[in-house]
Amino acid sequence: MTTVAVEPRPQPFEPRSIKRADYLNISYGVRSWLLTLDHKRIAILYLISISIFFFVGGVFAAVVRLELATPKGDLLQSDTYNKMFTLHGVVMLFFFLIPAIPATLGNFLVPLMIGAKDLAFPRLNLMSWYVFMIAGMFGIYTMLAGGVDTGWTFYTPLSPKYANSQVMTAALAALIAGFSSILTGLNFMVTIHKMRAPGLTWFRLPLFVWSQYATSLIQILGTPVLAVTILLVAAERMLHIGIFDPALGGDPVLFQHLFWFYSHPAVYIMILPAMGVISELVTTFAKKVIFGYSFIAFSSVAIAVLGFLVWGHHMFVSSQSPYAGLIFSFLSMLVAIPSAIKVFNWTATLWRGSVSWDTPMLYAFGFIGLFTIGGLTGLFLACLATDVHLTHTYFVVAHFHYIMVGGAIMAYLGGLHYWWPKITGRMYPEFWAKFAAIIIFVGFNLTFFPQFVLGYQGMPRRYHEYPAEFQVLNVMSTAGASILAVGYIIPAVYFIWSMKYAKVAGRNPWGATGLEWSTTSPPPADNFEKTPIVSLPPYIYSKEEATVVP
Amino acid sequence: MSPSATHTHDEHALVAHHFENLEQQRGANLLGMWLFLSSEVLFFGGIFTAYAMMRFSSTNNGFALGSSQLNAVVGGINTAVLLTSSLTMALAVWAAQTKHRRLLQLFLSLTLAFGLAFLVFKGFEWYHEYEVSLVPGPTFGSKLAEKGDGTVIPAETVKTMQMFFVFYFSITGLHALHMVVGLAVLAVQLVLCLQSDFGVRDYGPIEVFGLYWHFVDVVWIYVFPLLYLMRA
Ligand SMILES: [Cu+2]
Repeated sequence: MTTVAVEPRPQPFEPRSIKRADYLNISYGVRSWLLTLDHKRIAILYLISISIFFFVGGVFAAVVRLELATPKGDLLQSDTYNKMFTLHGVVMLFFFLIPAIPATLGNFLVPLMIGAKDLAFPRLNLMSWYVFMIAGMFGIYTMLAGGVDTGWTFYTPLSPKYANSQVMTAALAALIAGFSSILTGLNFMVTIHKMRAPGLTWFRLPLFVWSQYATSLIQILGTPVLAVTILLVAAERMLHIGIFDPALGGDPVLFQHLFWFYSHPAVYIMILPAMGVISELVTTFAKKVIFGYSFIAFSSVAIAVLGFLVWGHHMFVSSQSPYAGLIFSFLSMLVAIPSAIKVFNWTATLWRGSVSWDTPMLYAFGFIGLFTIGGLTGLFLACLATDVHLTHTYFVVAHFHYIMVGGAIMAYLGGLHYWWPKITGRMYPEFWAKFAAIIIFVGFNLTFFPQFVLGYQGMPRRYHEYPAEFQVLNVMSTAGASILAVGYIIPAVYFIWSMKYAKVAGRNPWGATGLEWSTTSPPPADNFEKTPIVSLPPYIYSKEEATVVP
Repeated sequence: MSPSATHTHDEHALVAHHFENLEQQRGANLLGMWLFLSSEVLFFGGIFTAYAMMRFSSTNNGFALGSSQLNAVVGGINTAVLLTSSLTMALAVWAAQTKHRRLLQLFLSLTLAFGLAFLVFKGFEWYHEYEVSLVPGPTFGSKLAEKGDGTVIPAETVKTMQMFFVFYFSITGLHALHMVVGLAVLAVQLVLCLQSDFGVRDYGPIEVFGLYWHFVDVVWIYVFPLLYLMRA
């Protein structure tokens, strides 16, 4: 092994240039990045790629909101509008939200948090990024070749039979991106099982690691079902034979079952890691041990497991039997329990803590509030009778944006700010970061809260026109979206700026516990000067806590 | 990295730098394969579930009729061939663990031969089914009447039969694809074994591949009765 963190020889004439070798400056050039096996560099590769996809997906969202500023379909044809919301969904889900936290923060942090030199399979990790980029190429080809208009759900028989847009390449993009997701999950799970530092027992793991573990479970077990389903759709579209087309004796609802068997748990691929981030933020900025560690840890696993049993709530108004609907409704409501456990434990952690209001904590507060709203409105949809009224309306759109944007993206941004000093070795500008966090919170609520009302009043989703009485709320939503866009652009600018000009962070700017803070910022290529030995549970901020906690 | 105290000298060369020792590396590789296979279970599980759902919701005997068009004898022979290849694979792992280089080469070659034989048989089967118009598509079933006892099969039932054959070709095709991938890896391992002390130096890679091979075999154990034997 040659990449030891060796002090470079001091230059006699420029004492200022003495630099410690870290993962960023150990080698230079495009090649050293594109062929890297270092999980930290691969995390950066992912970070750059998904950020680009995020802004692409954002442009599609902007077009959608612009069209909806007026009741008439005056900006876009209905066909084009269909393509816009489909591409928005496909890009944001498969190319941003699903890889967002696991492939960037998770990739960077899991080995650091467990005191390992790297993930168990570094080559597989790099391969997963290349697979992801191949999927991305298919996605980009889809956009350039005219887009796809089936909705991100690719429902049959529309997608294999009637749609005359780029369904094949879009579906293949989702399929291939799924493989990269499986590889990431597999790598994490093996790493967490096999590579923990001496003394780091399961119940001393940071909760972020627990949440990544639960996420990996879903990635490994859910994604292959989507893969085989997409293959069947592809066969049906290309060969005109298949099992979903009623004209051939097939069953379109079968597709929905298979699709949601993955795609409901996929929501937890997005939200579980976000919950893990919040657990870390809350303890660090309350300077207090987390309340109910094992409850939070097991609730992650419970969400992952229960998440596999609730897919039928997407089919209450399909031909699914009402008895099945009843069971799915009940099981869906059960998911609220582990989710609520987390929210209560975070809140209890804050109680009598010395809470500071740094930017990551602003995002954490934002997350807790918005996730609670998103989660509770989910119960409206899990309930059979109310769902009949609310399904296919803007209420659903608002609900899942509260979970995915208000939840997952808030946590992702909070985590990015929190670990930014570790990733780059530099802080971010505090004023602008707080400013952006507030802008995002305001913009988000203005965008999506009116949509709850719109949906309740009966405005259906996925139409480019609507009756004039819905206009006020839609204009509010569009105005909110433009504020939100500003809020997302500001961090992109100051993060890039900070890499060169911001204050140097030091090992542990937050005074946090956790192995990742015990090494230098940015960490050396091998993460630690020597393998750490763990003798305490996580989040011990005072002597009393060290004696109270098992 | 300086070799940690737990490394023996030649063990050190086999261990990737981010692992502490060979045992950790082996454990990680094995667990990785198990997790991959659990993912594969869900992959095949998806299509098996679809098969079960379509079969049990169908209102005619098209699935059973489709089943009886298949050649259960060839399918049975193939099952035996594949099971034997699993045996030779298990023996190959044993040979690697006990450092019998010649035996390892022999058993890997036998596994490769049995695997290829399976695919050849499967290819003949597919060709036969193509010849008697059992490949789904516009011409499906056009030659069914020549073969049967003269009774005309109702159009609805033919449709269901076609559905059966969509499953048949998808499932056996995906299985064969897994065989091809397995045989490619096997061929590489065999060449490495012939050229070097690969496999006896560290049995890890052989053991991990063995898991995959047995899995592909186990999938067939489900495929065979599901497609060939459920004729009523
Ligand atoms: Cu759902």
